[in-house]
Amino acid sequence: MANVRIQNLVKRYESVMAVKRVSVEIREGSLTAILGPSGCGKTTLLRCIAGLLMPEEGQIFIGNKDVTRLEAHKRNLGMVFQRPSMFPHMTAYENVAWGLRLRNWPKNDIPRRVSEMLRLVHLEGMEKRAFRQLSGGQAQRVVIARALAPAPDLLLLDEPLSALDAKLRDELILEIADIHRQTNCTTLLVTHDQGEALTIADNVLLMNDGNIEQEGAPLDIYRNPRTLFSATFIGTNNFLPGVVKEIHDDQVLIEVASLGVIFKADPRTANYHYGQTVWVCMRADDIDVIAPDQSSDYENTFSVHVDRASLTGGFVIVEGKLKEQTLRIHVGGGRRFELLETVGQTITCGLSNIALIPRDETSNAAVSSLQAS
Amino acid sequence: MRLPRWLFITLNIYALMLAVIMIWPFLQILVTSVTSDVTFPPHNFSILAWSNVLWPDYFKSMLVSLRMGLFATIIVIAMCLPAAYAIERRRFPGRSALGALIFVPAIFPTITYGIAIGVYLALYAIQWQGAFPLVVLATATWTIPLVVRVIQGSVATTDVVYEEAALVMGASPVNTFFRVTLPLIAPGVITAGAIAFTSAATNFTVPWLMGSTEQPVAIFIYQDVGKLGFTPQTAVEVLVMQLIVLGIVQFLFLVFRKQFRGAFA
Amino acid sequence: MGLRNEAVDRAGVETPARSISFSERFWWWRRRYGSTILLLTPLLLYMLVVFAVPIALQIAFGFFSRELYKGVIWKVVPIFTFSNFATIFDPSQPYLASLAWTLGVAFFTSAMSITLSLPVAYFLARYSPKGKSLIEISFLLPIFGDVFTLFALAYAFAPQGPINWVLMGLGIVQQPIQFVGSPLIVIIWMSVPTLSVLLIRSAMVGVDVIYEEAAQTMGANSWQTFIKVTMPLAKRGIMGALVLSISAGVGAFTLPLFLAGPYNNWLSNKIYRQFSPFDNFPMASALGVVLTLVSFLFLFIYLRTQEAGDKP
Repeated sequence: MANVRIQNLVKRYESVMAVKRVSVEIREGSLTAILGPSGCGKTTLLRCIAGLLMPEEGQIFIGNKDVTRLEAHKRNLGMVFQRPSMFPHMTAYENVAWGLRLRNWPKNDIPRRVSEMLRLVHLEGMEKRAFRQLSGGQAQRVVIARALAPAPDLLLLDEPLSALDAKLRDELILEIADIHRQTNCTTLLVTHDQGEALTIADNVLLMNDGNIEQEGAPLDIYRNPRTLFSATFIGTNNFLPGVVKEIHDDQVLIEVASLGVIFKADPRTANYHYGQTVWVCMRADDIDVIAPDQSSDYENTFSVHVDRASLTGGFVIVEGKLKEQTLRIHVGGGRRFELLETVGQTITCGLSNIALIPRDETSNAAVSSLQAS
Repeated sequence: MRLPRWLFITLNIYALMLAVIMIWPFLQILVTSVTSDVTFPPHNFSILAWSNVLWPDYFKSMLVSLRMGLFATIIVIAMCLPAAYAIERRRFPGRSALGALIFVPAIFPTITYGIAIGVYLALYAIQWQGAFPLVVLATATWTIPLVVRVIQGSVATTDVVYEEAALVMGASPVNTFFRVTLPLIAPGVITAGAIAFTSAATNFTVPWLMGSTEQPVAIFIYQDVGKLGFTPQTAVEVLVMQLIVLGIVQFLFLVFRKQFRGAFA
Repeated sequence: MGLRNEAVDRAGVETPARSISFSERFWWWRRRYGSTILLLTPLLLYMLVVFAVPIALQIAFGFFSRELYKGVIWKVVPIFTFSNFATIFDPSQPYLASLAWTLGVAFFTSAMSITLSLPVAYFLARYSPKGKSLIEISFLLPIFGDVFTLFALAYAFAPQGPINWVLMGLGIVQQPIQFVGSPLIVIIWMSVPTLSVLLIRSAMVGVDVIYEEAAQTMGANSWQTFIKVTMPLAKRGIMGALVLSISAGVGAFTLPLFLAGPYNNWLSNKIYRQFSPFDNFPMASALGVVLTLVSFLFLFIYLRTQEAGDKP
């Protein structure tokens, strides 16, 4: 078990920079998720840490040891890959045992350790099975056991569940969280699935275009996006152009001039100065549809004229207008079906959590292209 | 697409007919070997031809052929296995040119190559003319393109993730190759080895042109045909060699497949 | 997306090019290519010594001359002469005619063999006919012991053999045909589809059935679908098989030697006779160079057909 420190890491493919001067520290014993869209450099970053790729610049420390130029097999790591990687010419037992032998475990300890690890991933009794005799999920569990068995400094998970079907994914992700709790091994999970990252990680690194956009606890990442990318990548957000009007100790007032509306936001989420142009981000999931007499429970209330309401299983998507501004609202709960009847009517909405993101010309263009699509 | 029934049957008969044409010569020598002359339909059955073959000389030639096949296979696999792996897994300048270069022997006429070596030895190294090690080396050359291609195909269908997993688990690159890559590409390597073995063991042109001092079976039979013509006795000689070569190939597949099938079952 | 990333993009470009020391450059070079060079060296060295050097020497020998030694035997001397090549391209000599014969037979038999291959290759690629594995194995037979197949052929084509029995039984000929010892048997066997079936089959397996099905829904019949859709899409594989077949025909040595007799008209056998029994090494080398050049022409064409078809 160890912490990981990365300084100014640069990895190029030909002339393209896949990782652009990333510096980050990963706490010992944490379960950190590297989240981002495909091609954002998250897998490249993980492969640099694994030693499967060598960075052009920067340094990587694992447990305060500089491993930047160390070959993969000389770093004490465990890794689980996206594609099935259980050796098909070895049984489950041999897969795990070979890893122990490679790390010079005492011979007598190996059988005990293998069965301990297979028990950890719920595969007791399947020692003799080969790849063909195991399901996709079981084979991936063997790989997890194999990676963890030698007690590595660091466990690297490179989209470990993306080859599995949805139901199995939900099951295994919670198991990974359990295993992490039991072993307490520093774990890095690369994923493009925000659900996975937010569910189990205690720290999320949000990556985009070779950079770390935002780092924080899942709740913080979800509630307080700091950049336009963070706000658009996770969940569905509504963006309204505003200007900081007043700054108080307990709240910030933002005026959306075009609509003649003033919104209140929590000042602790970021530092803003008077008169700054900002985007008011309102998460579609955070907006509640309320009865008019409930308005005192919310910092912001506003009326929305409903244009369309559609059912998508778990929640109802309401598309409506706050004055001229189109809004999208996701409504859950047992009374959501009533909204299907409200098309053409006006409903009252309440929202407490508003995030603020700096606004300028480039982000103007980005948001308008986003709203057009 | 769905073919009309008559067309399907016609094509099926046509394919079977071609197969029979390919197999026919072997049935023919099988029958001829137990008759006293080459006639059809066969009559005058006799096993005299079997006793006329000079078996000690024949088996001496047979051993030469098998040694040629064995040594050529070892040499060519030892060279082509790493090369095929590198061509498939690594990216380097001139990679496609190298692929074309390795392909050259496949399209190169054996005769000119044999003449090239034969002339060189006759002019400048008469003491090496027909030396067995040189014959083996030259014979091996002709199997390179097929061997590289078969192994390369095998490497291409093996996911690189197994090798990466082994590296992260702590296996050195060499260890990874022998413990992970090689077992996974074994079927391809065995196939390549079988092809190399048979084509080297049955090669006529290269040992003939190099004036090999040791006589492989192909030359033995050619000279017998020159003396006797295509008779039942030469049919016996062809048949025995063919059976042994095919038998060895079959044996290789059986023995090795069993070991590796356990892993894939 | 968004302002921040573009700003970083600009920062990425603005980063001054770092000066890399020689040792660092070497480290990267060794990491990228070190093991590759190690893996390729044995084969490349072998190809150089055992293959390239003899071929290069052969070109040199083609320009050597001969002189009578003590009035009894010819001795090869390293004196430059163009006479060997002049002789080859002299129409009064048999070599040009032999080259034309060799090429002509190779073209004709390859065209025959590929044409005969097409239906069976397609059939094997798309359907599971009766006796499929037997059919497939039979086309593989020539790989395992080519020479012995040729010996065995002689028995099938013997004067009293089955082929003549059939021909006479059908009343096509009155007297048995002397196949063995005549060029006819070589031309017949070269025309029989063998490995080309497997090459074309794998090319046709690579053509997705969905294109054929699309053509069928558009109203094409089986024949139109095959000609207009399957054939063009499998063109690369078919051309490859054709060129390989031609070059195999041009270079064929044992086939004419065994079946058409040692005094046949194929260039490969003419080369061999210059080598032995005539011991005219420079002439044999020069002829070898000509045959090599012809083969390289086909290699070139083969590589071009493989490139041109990259995007069907």
